[in-house]
Amino acid sequence: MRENMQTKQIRTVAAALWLGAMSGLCAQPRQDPGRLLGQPAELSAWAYAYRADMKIQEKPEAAFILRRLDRLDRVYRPVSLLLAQGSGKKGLPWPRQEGDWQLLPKKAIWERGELLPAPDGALRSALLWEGRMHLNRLELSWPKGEPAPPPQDVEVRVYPSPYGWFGWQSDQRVTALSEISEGGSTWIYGGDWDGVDMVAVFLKNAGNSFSPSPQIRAYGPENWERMDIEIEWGFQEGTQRSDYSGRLDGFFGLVGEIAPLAGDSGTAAEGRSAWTSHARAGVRRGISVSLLYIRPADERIKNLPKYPYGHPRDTRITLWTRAGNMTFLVKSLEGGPICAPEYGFFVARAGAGLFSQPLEVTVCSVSHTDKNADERLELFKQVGVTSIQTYISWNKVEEERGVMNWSEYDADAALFKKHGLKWVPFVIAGPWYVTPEFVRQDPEIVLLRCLEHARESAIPSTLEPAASRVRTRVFKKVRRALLAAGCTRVYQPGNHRRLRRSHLFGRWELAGRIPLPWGILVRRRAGRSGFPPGDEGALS
Amino acid sequence: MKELYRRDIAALNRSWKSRYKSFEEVMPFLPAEAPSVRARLESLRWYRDSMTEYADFWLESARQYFPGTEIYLCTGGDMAPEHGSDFSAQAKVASKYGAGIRITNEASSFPQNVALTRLVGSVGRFYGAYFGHEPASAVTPVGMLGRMFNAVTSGARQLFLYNTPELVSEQGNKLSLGEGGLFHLRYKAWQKRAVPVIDVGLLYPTSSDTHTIREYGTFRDLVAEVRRLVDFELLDERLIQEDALAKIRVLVMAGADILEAATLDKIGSWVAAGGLLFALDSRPQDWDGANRSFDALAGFAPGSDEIRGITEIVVDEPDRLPSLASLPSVFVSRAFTGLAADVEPYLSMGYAAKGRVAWRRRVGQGYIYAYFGPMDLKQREDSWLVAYNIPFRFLRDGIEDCARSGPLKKAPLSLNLTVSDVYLVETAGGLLALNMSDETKTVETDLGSIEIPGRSLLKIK
Repeated sequence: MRENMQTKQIRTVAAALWLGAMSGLCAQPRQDPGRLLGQPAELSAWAYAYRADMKIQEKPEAAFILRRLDRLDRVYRPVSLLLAQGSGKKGLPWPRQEGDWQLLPKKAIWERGELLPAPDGALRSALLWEGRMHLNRLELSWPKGEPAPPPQDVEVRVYPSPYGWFGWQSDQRVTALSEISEGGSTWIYGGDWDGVDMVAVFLKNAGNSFSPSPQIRAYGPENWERMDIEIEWGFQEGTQRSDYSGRLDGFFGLVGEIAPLAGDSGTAAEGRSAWTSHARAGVRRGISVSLLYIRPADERIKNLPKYPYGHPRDTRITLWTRAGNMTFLVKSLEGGPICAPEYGFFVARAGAGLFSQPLEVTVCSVSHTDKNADERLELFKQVGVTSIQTYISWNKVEEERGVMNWSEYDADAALFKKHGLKWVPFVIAGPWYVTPEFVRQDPEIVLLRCLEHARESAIPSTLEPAASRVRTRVFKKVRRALLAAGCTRVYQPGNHRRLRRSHLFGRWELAGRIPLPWGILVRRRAGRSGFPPGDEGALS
Repeated sequence: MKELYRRDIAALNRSWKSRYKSFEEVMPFLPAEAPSVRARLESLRWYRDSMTEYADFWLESARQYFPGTEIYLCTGGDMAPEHGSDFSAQAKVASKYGAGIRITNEASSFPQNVALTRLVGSVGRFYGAYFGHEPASAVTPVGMLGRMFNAVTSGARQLFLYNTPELVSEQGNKLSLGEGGLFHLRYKAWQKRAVPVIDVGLLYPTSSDTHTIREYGTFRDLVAEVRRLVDFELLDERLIQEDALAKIRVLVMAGADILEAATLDKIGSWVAAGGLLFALDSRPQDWDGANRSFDALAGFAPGSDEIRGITEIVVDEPDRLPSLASLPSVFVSRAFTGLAADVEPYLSMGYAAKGRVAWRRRVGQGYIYAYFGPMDLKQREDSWLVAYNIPFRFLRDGIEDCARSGPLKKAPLSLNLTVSDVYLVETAGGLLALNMSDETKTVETDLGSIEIPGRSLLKIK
């Protein structure tokens, strides 16, 4: 893959800084993660760069920068001007036809108002990303050994782009030139520009003999984090003899030096991020490598993940080998290893097996009303307990429809907080014994029916739409109360505590499984496999 | 069912061997009244799927209102059909919402606890859903030690304890750590998550209707017995159909009377690609009653016949099955004749020389080891023979033979047939051991002879 010369330089600089730090790490492992670790991540290395002083751009995608700026000037600016001068009832000024500008509702364009006039100067440099960036620092580096242009001749713009490369977009002036380096060659702009996928620098009087093109560096809010990983291959039958020589590429991520897995005599590093790997003796084949990666904050729309398959700025690592290729999200490894059998790779955090992740030890249950509660909690902490679970019963917090009472739980939460323990509320909103009386008396409630005995039970079907609505409402209220109390984890009853009005098994035994599992299973262990019709145990 | 059969009632009747006149007549039925195995299993799938949909509803609701909070779906049981739970489906759903699963009902036996929790651990690791373990009730002190070991070595994120006297006891107004609490204090540094390294899989036969093992007991008991021998991933049919076999080298199949055709296809392909399948007293049919797929894999031929009679067993390959060859007279009652010509006999009937009790067959790059002897996993009151644990001797000898002769790079470090109450787990951080007994025990491993004090945990490497 060809790289833009400037991009390559940036990457080389970044990698050199980091690798320098890595070599320091060898002497003091995990204590000095290097100069880049913890520093703002530079995002420009993964953009398509345009430079007016280069006749041929390194990456052809840079041509899209010119095309997008041209469309902005010739289409979007005139349209926004017309709409800004017209009325909201007017149609668009030319016939509707297939075109990307029509994808944006007229009302939305209207509300955006008139776009800025086109820049006065000529384009000198620009960056274009494939996804939307959140930027808060831009650096312009003017060619060394030459005077920088006067700041009033330079205009920097960023381009919010809610609909991607081929949709409506606008631009914003970047005005906050906060710092100029000694010698004047580096200019730093601070701000907060979200959802932009392009940055451009324009220079007035660019036709003069002196028309420098600055190198642009862009930084977002994320800092570099480090993860050491292991990648294993050749473990599947038929792949043991395969040649897995290859290399790693980081996207919004930096790859450190590579080393073969312990005992893998067939694998050897070749350069900084490449290796050769042939089958030899050794139980495991593969490499270990350190990565610098970023973790953009989770973004949500109506409480659903905005990017369910990965944020545009998530660090991705691509594994290129002669036996196959694979790309993975580094942050996925925080939740556990990645096994990709179709590609024959297994990726895991190095050291994950060396007891690096603490176990959450939860005890159930302690109440503020318990005698010696403080002393008991301190003893728990002594043995490594990290949290306390208590049960939150629906009928206790909502005795009367819509009237919530959290007083009992507030005191518990305060007690645990005082001892530095997390609170794990176990929300019970399914079984009969926590069902409020007003729900039990609801004439629309649908009760479970035993198929075998052809008889209704006193248990509401939780698939009943009305019941689901009620519980959703309760969840909302639970949330408000728990968030106020500093809740960190939530448990919920889920799987087998629900039956349909008619069900397959038809035994009253199943009715006994509607309540919380410990009640059921204690009974089972006592040797009872079911409950006769009408048994209170089946209804509790 | 209307959707499944595209509103074609005739298609449903052909498939189910039923005579419904319309879909409106298709109602849930009791298991004994199922028109066919397929009807029963498709209804069961609908039941389990609807349970999963409900879990999805709860998780979606919880995630909506708690976007940044860890959420656990509390599930329980051992996935017996009437529970309606489907752990792998639940793990997929939980993973979708960045949530986890807590499996409840551990007790005081380590191998039984593994039997109750391992499927959740395996599916959680496969689908990326975190998980935790919870007991059904109070647990004995040494049981608490075993629970800690199980959670740590499974890679669980959470360990749930009840506030019982075994944790903190109270005499008068004075509180002190109970015996179980003292274990937690002693092994506080262990309360972290390990990454297990597992080469062996045990098939969880999701389609199996009864979950019983002939001459033995429940499938859960069998899982516990396998854990006495070796550490394993428990793989249900969904995991197998989604290629989880790629990460293991040995698959143990037992108690599998029915499997989905797609599962059998995956197993067959995996064996052909180099997998080592140990089928213990299992000759599974698909949902339509066909066993051609497995028979072709195992070396059953059209003329194969099952013969019965009590005879002494003959070890055809004593070098490959040394622990079986060392036993005194062992009797068997069942064998097969007329097997494929490429079958290598391992165990045969003494008085019917062509009656094969166990054999090995090469399939592509892999092997199937088939065993149809007694499932004498433990001595029972009504056992007609002395229990020598023959199927697991066959399994252990077979695995070690594979390691000696090449199909397996090495035998699992967790393999231990002879020392009771000692459990080994290989992790990315080394070999870990649990001794649940009161006495010091010595185990022989590839790393040498290891002495493990009673009621203790030990990191060996």
